[in-house]
Amino acid sequence: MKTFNKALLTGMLTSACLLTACTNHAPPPQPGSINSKLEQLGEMSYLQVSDLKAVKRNHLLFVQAEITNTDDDNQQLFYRFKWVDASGFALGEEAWKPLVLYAYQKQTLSAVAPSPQATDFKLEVNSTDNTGDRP
Amino acid sequence: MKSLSFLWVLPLLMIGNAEAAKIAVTDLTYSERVSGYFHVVDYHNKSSARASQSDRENNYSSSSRYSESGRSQTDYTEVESSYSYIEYGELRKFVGDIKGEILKTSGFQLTQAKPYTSKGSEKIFDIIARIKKGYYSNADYVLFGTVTELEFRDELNPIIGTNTSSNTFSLMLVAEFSLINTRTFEVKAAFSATGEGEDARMASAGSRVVPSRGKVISAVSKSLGEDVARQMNEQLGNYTDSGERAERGAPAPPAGLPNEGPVTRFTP
Repeated sequence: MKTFNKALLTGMLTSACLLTACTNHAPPPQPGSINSKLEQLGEMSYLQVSDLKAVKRNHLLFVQAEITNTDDDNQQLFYRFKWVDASGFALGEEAWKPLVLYAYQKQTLSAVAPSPQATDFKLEVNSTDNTGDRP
Repeated sequence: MKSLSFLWVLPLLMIGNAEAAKIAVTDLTYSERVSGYFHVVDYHNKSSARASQSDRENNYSSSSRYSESGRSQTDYTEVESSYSYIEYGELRKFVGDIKGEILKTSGFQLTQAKPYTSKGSEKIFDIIARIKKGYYSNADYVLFGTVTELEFRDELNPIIGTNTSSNTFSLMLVAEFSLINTRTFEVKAAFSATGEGEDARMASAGSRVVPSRGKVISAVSKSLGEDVARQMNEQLGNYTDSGERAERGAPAPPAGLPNEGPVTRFTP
């Protein structure tokens, strides 16, 4: 009887662990979606990347993103672009850039790849007002 | 006959040399405002004292004489002022890796540039005068660099949750470069490049860390060299669309409208 109880307890613990693991890992973002190009350091509470587009001009990747503040208060955003070459290797590291978005403001961020070798990118964003959860 | 057969090779060598343009890389020119303050106090004090006494005595009379004199002279001068002047010169550092990267990544041949050793004045920036004086007589192009900013930083940041802190010693160098044709003075490429290096060490309370300046300088030189070579190749059109290096002499993209590809829009 004692062994049975022990087995039951172990089983319950395992299933609880599995359940937690499942809830912690959100499904991967759809390829071609904004989220697939976004890296949030904690889910932003009031800021959204509402539009994102990229084009190649003069051999250089040109990216434009639109950030929307859905709050009635000013919001602080820090962002940087991560440029990646065709083999998936990162090309250097940019510095974080600060940006203040006024209440309900939409701001456009533009960036040009530092080198023609950049074929892909990720936009890394961090808002001081975030939920603290995994995005 | 043996020497004659060698003559066949000579034209080939000459062709090989004619194809690759020769480039000379100057040392990085800098100008810096030097300010100082001086305060001089000059104090001299000379003093002298003299005293004499004479006594005379015989059976009938006695006399005594005493004299005393003193003299003191003091000179006091105090001057204070501040001065400021602009110092010009060339940094004899940081260009080794630029040369190395140019050799590795572009089709240029390198020739040694003659250093500027004259007394520093604003003339140091007159690269055309230096070219005309024959400083770079063997070169088709001169890569002329001037220092825009040079900044050392020494930061100590506590690491939250521990009793250690991180000591970061870093150097950032920003320099502007122009690639100038020595015959036509045409600027073929111009850009500003950055070199940065840092040495980060953990320091626990009470310990003393000494950053390695050599490591930082070496990192700055390497990253500056890479940045210069990359930007030079980009502006000279040594890259194809896929980011691979093109063969030298490949046709440049047509001028006029920007070479624009299709827009990729990401869905929310």
